[in-house]
Amino acid sequence: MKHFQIQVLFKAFFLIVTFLLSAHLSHSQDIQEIKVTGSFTKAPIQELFNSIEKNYGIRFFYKEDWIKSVEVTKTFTNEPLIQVMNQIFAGKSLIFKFFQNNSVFIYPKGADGRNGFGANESQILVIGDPLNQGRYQKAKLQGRVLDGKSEEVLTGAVVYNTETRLATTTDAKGKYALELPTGELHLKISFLGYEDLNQSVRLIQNGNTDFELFEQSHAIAEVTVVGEDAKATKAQMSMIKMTAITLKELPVLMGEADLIKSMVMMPGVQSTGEMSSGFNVRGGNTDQNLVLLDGAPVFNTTHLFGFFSMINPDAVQDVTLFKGGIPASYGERISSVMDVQLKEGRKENIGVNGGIGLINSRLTIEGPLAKNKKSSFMIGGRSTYSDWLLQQTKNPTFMNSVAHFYDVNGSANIEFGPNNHLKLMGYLSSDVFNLNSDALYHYDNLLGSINWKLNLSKKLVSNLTMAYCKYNTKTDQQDPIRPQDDYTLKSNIQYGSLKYALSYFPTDRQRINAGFQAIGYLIKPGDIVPTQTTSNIVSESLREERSSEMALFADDDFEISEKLAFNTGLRYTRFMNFGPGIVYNYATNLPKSQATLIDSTVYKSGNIIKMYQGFEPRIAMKYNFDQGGSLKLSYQRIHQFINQISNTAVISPADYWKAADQNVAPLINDQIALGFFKSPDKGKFETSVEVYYKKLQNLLEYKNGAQLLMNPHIETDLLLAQGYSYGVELFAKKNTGRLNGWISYTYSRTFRKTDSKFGDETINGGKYYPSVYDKPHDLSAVMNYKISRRWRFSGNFVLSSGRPITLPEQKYDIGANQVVVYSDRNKYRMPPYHRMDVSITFDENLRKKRMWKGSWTFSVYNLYGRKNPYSVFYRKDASLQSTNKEQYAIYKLSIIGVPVPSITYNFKF
Amino acid sequence: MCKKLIYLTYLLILFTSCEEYYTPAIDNIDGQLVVDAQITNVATGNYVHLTKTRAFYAKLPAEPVMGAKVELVEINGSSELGNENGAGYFTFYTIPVSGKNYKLRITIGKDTYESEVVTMPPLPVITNFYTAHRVEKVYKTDGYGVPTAHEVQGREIYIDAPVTSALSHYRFNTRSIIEWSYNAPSTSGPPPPTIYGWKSIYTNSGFNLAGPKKFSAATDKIEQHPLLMLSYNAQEYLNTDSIISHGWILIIDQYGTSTGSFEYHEKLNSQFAADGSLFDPIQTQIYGNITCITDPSKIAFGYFDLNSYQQIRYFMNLSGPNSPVELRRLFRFPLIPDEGQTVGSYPSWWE
Repeated sequence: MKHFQIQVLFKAFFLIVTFLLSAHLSHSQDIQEIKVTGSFTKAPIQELFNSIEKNYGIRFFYKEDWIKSVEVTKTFTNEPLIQVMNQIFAGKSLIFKFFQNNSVFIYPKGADGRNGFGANESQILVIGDPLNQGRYQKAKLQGRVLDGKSEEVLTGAVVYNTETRLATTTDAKGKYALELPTGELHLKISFLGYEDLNQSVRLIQNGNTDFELFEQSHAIAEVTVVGEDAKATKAQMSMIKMTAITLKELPVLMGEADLIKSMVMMPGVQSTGEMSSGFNVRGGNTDQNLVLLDGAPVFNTTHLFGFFSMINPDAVQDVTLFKGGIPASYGERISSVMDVQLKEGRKENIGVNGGIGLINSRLTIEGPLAKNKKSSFMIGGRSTYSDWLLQQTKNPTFMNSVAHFYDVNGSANIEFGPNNHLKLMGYLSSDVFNLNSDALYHYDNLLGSINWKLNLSKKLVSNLTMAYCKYNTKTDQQDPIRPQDDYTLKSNIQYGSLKYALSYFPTDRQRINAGFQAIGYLIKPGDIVPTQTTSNIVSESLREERSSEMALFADDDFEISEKLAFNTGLRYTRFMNFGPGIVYNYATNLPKSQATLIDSTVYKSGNIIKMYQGFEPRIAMKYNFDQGGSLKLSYQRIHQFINQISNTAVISPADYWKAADQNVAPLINDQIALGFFKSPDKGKFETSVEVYYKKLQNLLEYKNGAQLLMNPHIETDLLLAQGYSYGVELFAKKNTGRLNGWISYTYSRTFRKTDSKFGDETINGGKYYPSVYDKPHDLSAVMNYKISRRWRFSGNFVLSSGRPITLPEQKYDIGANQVVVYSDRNKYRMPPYHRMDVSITFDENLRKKRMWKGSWTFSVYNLYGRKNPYSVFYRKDASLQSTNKEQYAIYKLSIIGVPVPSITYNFKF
Repeated sequence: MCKKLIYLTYLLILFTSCEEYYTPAIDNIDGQLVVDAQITNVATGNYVHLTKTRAFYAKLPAEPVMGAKVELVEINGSSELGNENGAGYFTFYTIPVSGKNYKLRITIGKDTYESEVVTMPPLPVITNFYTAHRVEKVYKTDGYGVPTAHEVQGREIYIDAPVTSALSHYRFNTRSIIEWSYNAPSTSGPPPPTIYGWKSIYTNSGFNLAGPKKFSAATDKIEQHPLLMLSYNAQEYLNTDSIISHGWILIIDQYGTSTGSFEYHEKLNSQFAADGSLFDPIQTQIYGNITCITDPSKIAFGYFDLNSYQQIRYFMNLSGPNSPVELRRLFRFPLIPDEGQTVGSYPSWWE
């Protein structure tokens, strides 16, 4: 390489000297402005050079070896040479440089993709036709930010202009757009884990350019939280974006990156603690989150009692969580939308990512699908060996338990052309476990989606998504004494969706989206079947629920001025529950129970049993202040037509889904949010304050002692509650430097109440009571520190109020047994939860040419061994007769009461 | 190396769960009426005990409710006023008749409480009483607190019982009395007399309830309902090798109960059996079948339990998995103290 560089330098020196000797200040046209015309199809680049040399007298200097594999397929019509060169060298391993006014110098990038003369070499990038110099006062610069080595797009990279202090971040496709004053500008492109790129630009008119960044070391694919856009061009608020870059720097249990557990570190997102599945957004239930994997919904987001989320971190491109201000194109669930985009796969070469951990391992392979490098694939999987480790524990409950899972995910990305893009996704997972019982629980997810994106014109984009999901749960009840009583209890939900959206960009300042969505649900709430050929069990099935949800949506995202932007949208949704089916009618002046059942209506197949419909306005506004910072306001209404039936605090495999019907009205949420966002110190920091208020209608609650499983009259055990939530979310983040991280604090409350004139149908006498997810204080802090090029340290700390619980307040005796009287529901609260985790990562080598790149992460979860309560419960302990312990007592169970070290080896090649 | 790896694994233990007593601050709430009413066809055992609920951390016994008027009312028949024989204890002479309906009425000051109407079930029956070999996996903790699994071999004792329209649910109390003898070694002179002893073992993990199984096709009988398991190895109970086991006397109290009573006791069992899993159902209040008819805001806990009752006894001798089990029904019903021993001769009830 050095040899080449010397040669090139020598040639450059020679040319400069020659030029100076024969200097005549030419008044001819600037080389960059020369208009080039020609059409090339799979032509060697040399052919293009020859043509330009012949027609315009421009000389090209290069070494044949460097360009022999480069082909050009382009048509140029009077395009300035600078534009031509930008286009043909975009994404290539070669770069060019104009020399005086009659030569172009071609030389290769470094082996790692850098400029052959060194990184950040001062080179002015000319955007636009030099003839138009001074013609425009402002111009829009757009393009992509890419990983210089893998050519993968970088989502969340910051493009910052030092003169105007304007900045933007790249979207899910790595795209950015920034309107800037024309002239010479300095851009700083940065992305966590990558070296900053300082690029001088001569902006003449609107134009495109891509930037390439290079890893600081060779950090393995990770996930980072990038928060709000530095100065978002849209009015979107209450949104969290995460990309695949630094999750590994967050110390997590068992050393594996976990999207959901990282999300929980952000304001307004909580969980019920260790071993809890799902997450809670602004006080909402876990079933009120729509988690989309490339457009397909996920009905259970966890593996292994909630220790892992079901999404393989190596497969993730980026994640966007909407907590409020949800765009009109989304609906279905009232609390949040988490949109997870899987990687499309590398187009240039095959790549492998993986990790070997204590209880599971994972592997992901990605690469081009065809030689043309236009299509790519990605396939990955994880599996566990946790059963073996359960046997090593000191806890008899776990020793007598089973827990294992696997998941496989894959995607194929096919580009039929630059404006025609098809993405296919498939996902399969299976979990099996039991907790020291005779019941073996299974649940499986099967997801698939097809996304076809077609740019109909520069201003019109068509997007079609078809998704399918099947979520099965199964409980194998095994009686060791009486196998003839063994049975299997099954439930499932199938979901099919077709969503079509057209995006129209009439101007740079406006985007109009419109489309429709059709969803079909098929819910089998419960089937019980015997597992033995000779059995006492009678097969029984609850009625299937068939329903559909249709939606029409449109929104308009527009900027009135540089200061003021709006996003107004409307979604019309209609839900229909179809026959065949029986609807039970109950006496209206009595509590619903089987005793008050007066009548039933039988519906034939296809008949509409019940229809709900409604409009869902979505409004968002942003105002930018002169002093920096922006104020945002949003309002949304969303309907949710399916609920998870569960009387536990978390998602349990015994839970099942239920559609709205005559007796169960849909959930309705109205939310208003106001926020102030600022990115001080040139985008080095991000800060935000948000306040919100949510009104909730038709929340599902359960009667005292409700019987949920295999209950054909489930409506007699359900209560409809009303509720409200409010909160303040504070967030501050340092994006750059050796020391970076963020701190978030949320104060929030969530209450609900049952309105009924019947005592049997009220909770706590019809007064408001805190929801089980009501955790007023929630503080999270994350810190990453780069000790050296090879070592990096991370730590996080969480502190939150304990969740509400119902405790025994009184006791009495029945015979020899002590029975307790519980308090009002959720009257008490668990002790506060706090925990600190740390991790240190060592990169094996920093040589960029090295194919195999490995790193070791040593982490300690719960560093100071806090015995955080997982649950508080009352129990009679029959095994304590011979001890001096109390037989009846309240117990506090901590799942992880000691520091838990773990070590993980991650690799990539 | 392998050992080191195992120690390392212990160090890296994943599930280091820890369960401990928890004593949160709990409000003191005024005591509320508790009715523990057990009425059967054996009049000597009938009682209604009225107390008040106590604060959860209270150390003192329950405060009795005295001076109440407690009536056992036969619907469309006569009623008997309970006799307060002790503080809050009321007894009755009435022997409820199978098929007839009864309720309990309690008057305390201006408040009147009534139970729901319960039909007296017919006398319970056991159609089969039998045993089967069973291996149970149990965990014992060593001196370092590390649990290790081991297997216990023994006999599971089962019953079959009929399910009829009048009686479909049962509750069982089981007491197992192990008979043993000990011959002290002779040092000099005549051999010392044999010591005969006995010890009672109670099942203590909640109420043993039997009823038609959910989703079961067997609607006319309860089959193979487990009562308890006894190990072949008597030392599991006696804790010494020098004592010889002579067998077991099994005393089974069988109650024929209503469906409501069965469900009430099921709820009690679920309250006692919580294990702290988040999969545990949200705690629910256990209400009985007694309400205040004069002031609906007042709550009464407890249950008016109207059951038919019989006691059956068996003698069982277990030798080992490969030896036949000696099992015979006993028709004597002497009182047997919980635990004791005699020297030289065995007690009169000895089998």
